[in-house]
Amino acid sequence: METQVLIIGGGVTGTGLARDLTLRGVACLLVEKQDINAGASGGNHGLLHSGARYIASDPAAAAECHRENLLLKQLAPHCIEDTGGLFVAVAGDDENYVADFPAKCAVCGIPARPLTPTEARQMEPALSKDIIAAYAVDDAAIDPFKLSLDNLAQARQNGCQLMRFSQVTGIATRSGRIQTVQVRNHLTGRATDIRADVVVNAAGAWAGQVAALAGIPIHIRYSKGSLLVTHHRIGGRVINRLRKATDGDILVPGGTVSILGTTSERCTSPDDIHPKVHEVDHIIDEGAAMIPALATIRYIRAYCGVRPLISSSDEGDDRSVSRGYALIDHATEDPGLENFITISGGKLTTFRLMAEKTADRVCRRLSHCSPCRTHCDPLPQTVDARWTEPGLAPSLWVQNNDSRDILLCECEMVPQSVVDQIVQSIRNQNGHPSLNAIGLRSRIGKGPCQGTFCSQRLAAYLYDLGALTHDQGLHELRQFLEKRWRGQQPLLWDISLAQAELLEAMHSGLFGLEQVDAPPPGDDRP
Amino acid sequence: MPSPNTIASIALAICLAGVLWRICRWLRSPIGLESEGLSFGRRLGAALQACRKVLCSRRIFRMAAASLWETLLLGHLLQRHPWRWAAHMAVCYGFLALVVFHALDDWSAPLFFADYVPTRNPFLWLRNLMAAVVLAGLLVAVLRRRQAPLKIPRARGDRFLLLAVAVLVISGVVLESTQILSPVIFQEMVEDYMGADDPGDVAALQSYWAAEMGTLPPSHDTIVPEGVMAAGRELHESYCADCHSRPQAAFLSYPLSRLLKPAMIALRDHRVDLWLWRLHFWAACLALACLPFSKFFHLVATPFNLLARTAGPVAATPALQPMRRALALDACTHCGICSQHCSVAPIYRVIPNPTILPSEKLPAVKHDRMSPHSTNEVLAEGSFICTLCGRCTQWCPSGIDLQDLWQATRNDLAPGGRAPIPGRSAAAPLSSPVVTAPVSLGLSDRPETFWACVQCTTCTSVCPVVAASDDPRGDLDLTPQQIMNLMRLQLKDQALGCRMLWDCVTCYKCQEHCPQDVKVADILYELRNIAWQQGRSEGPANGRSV
Amino acid sequence: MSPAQPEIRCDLLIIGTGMAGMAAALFAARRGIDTVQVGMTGEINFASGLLDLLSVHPTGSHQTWSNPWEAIAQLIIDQPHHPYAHIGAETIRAGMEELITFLNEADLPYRYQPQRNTQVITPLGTVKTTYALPESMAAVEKALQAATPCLLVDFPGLKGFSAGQIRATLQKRWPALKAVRLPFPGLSGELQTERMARRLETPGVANLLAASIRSHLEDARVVGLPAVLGIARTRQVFENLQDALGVPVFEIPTMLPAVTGVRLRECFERHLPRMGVRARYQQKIVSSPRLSDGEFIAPLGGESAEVQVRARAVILASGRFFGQGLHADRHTIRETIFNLPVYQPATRTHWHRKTLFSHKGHPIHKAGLVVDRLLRPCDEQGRYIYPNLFAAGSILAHQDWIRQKCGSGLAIASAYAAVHAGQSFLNLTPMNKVE
Repeated sequence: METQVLIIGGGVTGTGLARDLTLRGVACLLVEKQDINAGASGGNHGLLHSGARYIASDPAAAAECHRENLLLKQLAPHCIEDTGGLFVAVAGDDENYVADFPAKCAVCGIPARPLTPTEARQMEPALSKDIIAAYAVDDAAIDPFKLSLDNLAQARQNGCQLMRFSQVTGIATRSGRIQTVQVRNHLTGRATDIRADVVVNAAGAWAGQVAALAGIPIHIRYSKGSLLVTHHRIGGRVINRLRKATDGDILVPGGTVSILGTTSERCTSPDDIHPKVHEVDHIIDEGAAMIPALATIRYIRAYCGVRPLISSSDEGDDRSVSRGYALIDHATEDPGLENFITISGGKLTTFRLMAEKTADRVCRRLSHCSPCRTHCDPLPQTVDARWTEPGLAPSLWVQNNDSRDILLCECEMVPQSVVDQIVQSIRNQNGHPSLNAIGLRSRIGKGPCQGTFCSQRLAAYLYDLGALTHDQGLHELRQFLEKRWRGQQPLLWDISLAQAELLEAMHSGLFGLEQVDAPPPGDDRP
Repeated sequence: MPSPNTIASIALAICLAGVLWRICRWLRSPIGLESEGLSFGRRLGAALQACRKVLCSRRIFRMAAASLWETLLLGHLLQRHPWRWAAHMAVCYGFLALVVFHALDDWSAPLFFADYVPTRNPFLWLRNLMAAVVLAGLLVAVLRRRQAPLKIPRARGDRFLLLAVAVLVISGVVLESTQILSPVIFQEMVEDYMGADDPGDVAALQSYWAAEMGTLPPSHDTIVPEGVMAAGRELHESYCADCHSRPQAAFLSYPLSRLLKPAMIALRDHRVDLWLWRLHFWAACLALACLPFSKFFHLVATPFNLLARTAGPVAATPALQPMRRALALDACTHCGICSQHCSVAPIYRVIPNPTILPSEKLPAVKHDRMSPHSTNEVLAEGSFICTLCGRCTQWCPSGIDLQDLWQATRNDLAPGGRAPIPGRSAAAPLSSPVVTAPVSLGLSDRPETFWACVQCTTCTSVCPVVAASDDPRGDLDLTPQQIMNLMRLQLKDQALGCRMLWDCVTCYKCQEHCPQDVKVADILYELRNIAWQQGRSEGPANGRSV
Repeated sequence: MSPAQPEIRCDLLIIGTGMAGMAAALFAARRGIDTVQVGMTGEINFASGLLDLLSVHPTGSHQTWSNPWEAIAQLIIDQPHHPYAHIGAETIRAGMEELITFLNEADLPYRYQPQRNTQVITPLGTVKTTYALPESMAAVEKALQAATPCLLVDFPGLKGFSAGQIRATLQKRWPALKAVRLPFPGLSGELQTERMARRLETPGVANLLAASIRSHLEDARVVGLPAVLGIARTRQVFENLQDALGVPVFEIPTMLPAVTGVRLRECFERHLPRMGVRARYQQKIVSSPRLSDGEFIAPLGGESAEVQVRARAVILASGRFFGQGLHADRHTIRETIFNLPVYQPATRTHWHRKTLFSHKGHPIHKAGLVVDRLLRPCDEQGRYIYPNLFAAGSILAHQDWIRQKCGSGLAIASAYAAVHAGQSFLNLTPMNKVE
């Protein structure tokens, strides 16, 4: 296969870059070893930063955040819930930091309106009585799945090709240039050689591994961050702890739930990461200082992502490493590759800027002089991405009132018609509508039952649609439930534990899924 | 005219025959699946065997204690309903004392008191006291009923019985007061005990009695000379005082006699006392004869029922169950406590089918099931709205296992096992929503209300309204579980418009069967009230027919 | 009216209305023990109707045992703390037989081979090994072994049950499976199994269904359906359908909660009170029972205490986390009624493994009440805590019923053993058996 630009990595940066480049008229091909947003792009708060969090550690990144924040609110409003945000300090927090906060925000051009503790508690009644200071900022909630899927959808309209479940297995270089990139689809096992004028490594936490295939060492530190999804939405705004960035200090509302995070824990590999019990407890204890209800509420699941931190040394606190992005043009590095660019680090909030800067560099390599359009063209809303929005499916389902359109997922109220649309859209992309693929593109499995009931209902329905054959369903069910388990495992107590017991009683006790031979490696099968 | 003894004997015979008939009815009870193919003889055998086992077991001591506390002292009532207990004890023991020391005084009084004379104190006073106690009990019963929190329909039989007791007691009091007044009785007594040879003596005694003992004065008013009164007192002391105390001790009938005095003067030559005596006597005989055929049979049935319960498993073999159910039907006093605690009582406000209430269902079952091969749709509807929660059983002061009764009768009431459709009968006036609870308990706005839901769909599966629909999505818009999920997803507006809220019969089945104690029915109830308050009562406003 | 709580006296209080609680109440009633049973609608609503005894041992192996008694013998050697080891094979067998006899008498007939396990298929197309199963499910084993031509029927609107899924998944093992989707007589839209089952009890509906199946029969010599053939009259509906079709019919378990569980629950609820059990369903123990003169005094009620039970002995069959007999907060697992010591992993980190379908099972499943040979809960030193408190069912420690497939067997056998232990304590001579 040939293309102008090969983008490795289907996270928010990769899909944003694909859109940016195709809007400039550059042909590209995006390869992703799993599915969209499988890495840190899917494992974060969904927070559109105002920038105030980074005023102390990285003022430049803070200012950048703020500019992008305003821009995205204009250009991609359907992906954003403009909640506004608060920074609050509780008794015992570092008072010097609190005192310096407004001035530092002003330096970065970030508006922060001071509030009395009483005002703050009126705005967010869930806040602790121990609040000593509060500021209102421009934080918002953003749906990273919608963002990536919409970016990708427009890129594909403009001719971008997509290969999911395709892992880069080798990079052939000759005389300082990448000749071909070998890609293997681990569902079909088919290997493909791709020739590209420029190769962009947007593999996020896996950027080091990809670069290593090209013989280039990039030192990446893996910092795992775990987050918790609450059973219901707590408060209307993003709530940050007003202190030096640390664990369990941000609560972001997202649709019908809130997300509490994070931790920062060094890990040795970006693969096979799990949120752990002690992280969960730590986040809850920290969060409860700010919002006492967090100590007692029901949580739905935990998840985690790996922050790829590019740095020169192993020393120091991971949180103090710049959250700014790293754009490495390997033409100028040593050892050098003239058509290889790595983009890593950064934040969800600045993904567009990262894509723009990378595309600028790519275009320079290609001697292509179209200007960027993503800072002025609105991001079109597409059908592909709409069903990730909580509450949309039930609202439409209630309105349509079609008694044949049966709910497959009761918790999030996802009906058959939504699954039909998603299956069609995946098939249009020549993909296989697996349980996990449908889960990624809808709210199925994301509610309190965590797949207890919807998994088999969906599997049965997919058999009826002819989307599953043979004993495929058994393996996909296992994979689907194992994926949900990853998020449940560290927070099984109280009612969640009862729910998990029911899940096991049915899927293991009655159906004997654990006795099915272990599925072949890989996430999905064709 | 047959003698009073003959009449009383006939009444007693009827009463005994009636009791026997009742017991035979117990033994022939068709209630419950076990009754099929059980011969009379086998049932009788089982009953006798159970009695034998009970009498030979250590349990007999516990049963004795229980019968003392529960049947004689009505201990369970005292704990929970002191006023009801007071009324019961007053009527029951007041009446019993009157029966023993007054109605049966020829036989019973000498057993207790060697010098019993009904017209002497303290007997005179005590009889009045007992009558007063019974009347006070009746008054409490009537007043208490007026204040009952749940207005349950009252059977005519209940009132009749209260009336019968009242007539018996009041006629007795009136009789006594006319006897106090009666000059004819005075004359007869004088002839019998004094030998009326000297008219002067008689006149003296009569004067004395008119002045001191309340008898009507002689018709020809004469001025009684001073000495005559003293002579009268002397005569009284020697002939009358042994048997007659001053009637002022009769604190009910004596004042009454003062009131009746003018009327009695007009009727002085008539034997008003004899008319009243006949009324009193006939009423007593009638009550005795009717006892096995009326609610008062609970005097017999309830203690038996309580004893059978205390007997435990021994008295619960399949062969005995139909009998116990029939016994239970007779043990019901129709006190209505069960209906006050019935978990589906709120439905009665929506669907005016009295057989929803246990206190009304029981007489209906009695009427319906004891007559073979009857089908009763009203009763069937009432039976199937019941959720068998067992609260009625728990509260029943007569110790009736109502839950078992409902279960046993239900099987026979649903031909083909299909429950009649509650809430959808033509009679159901769903056009008026029920706003009885506070508009919002705040349940639906609290996220923790929905935490425990594990999405098992039980609430929808057990819902009789859903079950009755051929197409719930079309008929009801949303099922209970879907409403819970919309609420959890904070999409309250979507939930408020649905028809399920209006068709919910608040039977509480969803809530009772929820494995994680989600208050499904309470939430539906609250939402209905909220919707109504907001004027969003889509169903009723459109006059939707049900 | 003052809400003073009346007191009920009984010899035995059974806490729980799941399989273990119901079985214990049954065994107690048959022995003439004066029994009160209390509990909200229990986990029995979530029963599959299959009575598992033991088929997987050791967990972590793929071995399924065709003879459950051999498996139990091996288990008793390998895991001396397993409740089965306390109870012993003879008692397990006696309990199972007595319960199945009761179900047969109660018109909910069961089939089993005394010496071996049997196999059924699930909606996923997996094959499940169990011991006793409802008569209405029994025909599947022979058909599966002989791969008899079979018609699988499903219904539009019944979620999570696709005849096509079962056919596709079992294709290799049972090629002669056909699948057909037929409208359910009289119902449209989403179907709930309980609603379908009650409809099928209406005269005529089963015949309508049979008529629509018959036209698809062709060469099929056995017919499989989701388990919806009635609740109170399953035998009649099943026989009716089978007669009308002229071929054997079998039910396939559905997703939970299923009517198979409702059948069991209603069957027990119907018969236990008649047998003398003073049932207080829909009530629970609202606060910890206290001891008075060696007897337990337990307040019962819906929300608050409505009545007190004074019991000479108690059988605790309150289930695990789903049944709310155990409760876990972030740090520890508690027993909810008596606050008995709970055997458990050291910290939450060790409760669950990283993979859900780990063969070894999750350590938390082995948590629970440690008991002595008389099933009395014990403290850390192995001494019983109360002489008159016995535990039964899934609350017991050192078992993993989900992985070992021994849920019903454990519930029934431990209930049987607990009732016997309770009876000895009460020092009652067994009365004549109730007919």
